[in-house]
Amino acid sequence: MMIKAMGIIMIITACGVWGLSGAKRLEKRQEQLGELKAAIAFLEKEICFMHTNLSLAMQKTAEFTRWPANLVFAVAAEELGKKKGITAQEAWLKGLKTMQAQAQLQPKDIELMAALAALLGVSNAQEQHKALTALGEELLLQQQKAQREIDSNQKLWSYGGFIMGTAIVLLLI
Amino acid sequence: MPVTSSPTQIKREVLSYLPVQIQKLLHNLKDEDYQHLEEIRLRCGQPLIVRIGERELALAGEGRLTTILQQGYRVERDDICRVIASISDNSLYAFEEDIRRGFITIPGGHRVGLAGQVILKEHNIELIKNFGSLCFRVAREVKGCADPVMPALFSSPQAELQNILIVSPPRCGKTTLLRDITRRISEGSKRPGLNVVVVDERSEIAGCYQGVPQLDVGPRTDILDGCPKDIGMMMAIRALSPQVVVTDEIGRQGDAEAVMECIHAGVTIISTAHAGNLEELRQRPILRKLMADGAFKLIIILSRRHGPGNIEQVIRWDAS
Repeated sequence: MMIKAMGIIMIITACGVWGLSGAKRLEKRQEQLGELKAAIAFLEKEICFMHTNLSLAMQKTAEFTRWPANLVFAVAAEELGKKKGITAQEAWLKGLKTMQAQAQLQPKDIELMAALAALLGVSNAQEQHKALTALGEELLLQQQKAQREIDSNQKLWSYGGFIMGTAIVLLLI
Repeated sequence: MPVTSSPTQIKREVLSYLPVQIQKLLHNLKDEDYQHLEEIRLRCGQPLIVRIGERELALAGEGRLTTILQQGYRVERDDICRVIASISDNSLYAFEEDIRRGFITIPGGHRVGLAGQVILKEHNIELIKNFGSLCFRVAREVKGCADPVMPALFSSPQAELQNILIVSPPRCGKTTLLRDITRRISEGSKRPGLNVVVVDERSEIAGCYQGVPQLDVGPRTDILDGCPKDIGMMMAIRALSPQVVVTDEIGRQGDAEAVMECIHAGVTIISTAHAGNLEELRQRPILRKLMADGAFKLIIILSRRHGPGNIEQVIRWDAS
């Protein structure tokens, strides 16, 4: 009886935690998109108004930004700082890969960020401004979508896990 | 004995900006070739060409130099993109003004000339994009090359420095000589050093990188880097109280007016002009007028007869 009770508790807890982490993932994605949006605005200021060299601008942006969104900037800054002939495109994609492993972002968010790679640092300030502003706007749209997803799905995830756990238990009994 | 930039120095300063496969080829060149290396040209889809002294050669596999261009390493668009990324530190937006002028200066004072699609705005160059070819021009300072002319710069041991014009066709060492004269008069030796302002419109004299001269122009020298000559000369008189103003390649009406302003303000002028000899100099109306007005008291004519910097004539000019 004791073992049965423990099993029930474990199933419900496991499913509940899974559901809660799902809800948390939604929240984190929204936060990280917001963080990236702010970081891109910071990078835009460094590039378009301060005319800071890209490696230093990336480094400053990494310092300004919270983990894990800062990883893309930190890794790109490090790669560019090595001055081994790596292009901004390669450095940015490498940074993005590192961030993707740690962040709760979806593939479409990463695709948006990756689109910047080919444009970064290779044109005048006006063109950089256009590219960074466009990315900022797209990130804002993604953030708004993520917020709507939170509003509609967060409770489902939070309670859904426990409900699913209970359902499994009932089926097993 | 003139002291020139060493092969190691040139390798360190220039090669690091090139893609790895081109670096490997260039590393195989002999030190002797580096001593005379003037240009490295990268044209998209064309062989990599180097100019070593008077020779223009393609660079083939294992760094072999050849006159048969087809055997040379073929430059790809990716090579051009990598060089652009490298020389601009992946930050073309920070070099807009340099790009408008058509070149980017890299540490060491070497210049990378840019060619590509030019975008105009109201008859002015707005930007260059889609770069198609690049030319690395190796900056070479030859310390001591001014030694033979130094005694002639002063009309007598007690006299002040004269206004000097260095004349030659392109690639004969005008700027190199001008730089060494600047260094010598700024340093001083038997005479006290003089305060010099270099108006370096094309960043060729001092080879400034981020405002710092990469080539030795002496301890008492201020540089107005990238500044148009006429504006720079007037600005120098007003703000920097120079004893000598040095500038390269005068030829426009505005330059001539600024030269005369400097002279009337008691500032000595040292400059250069393109011309093969005195006759050609006289055929250029603005320079002819300057000569007739007695702006310059000493004219140094260079040629390439025995290599760059060959001093053909030193003429004391008396307009009367």
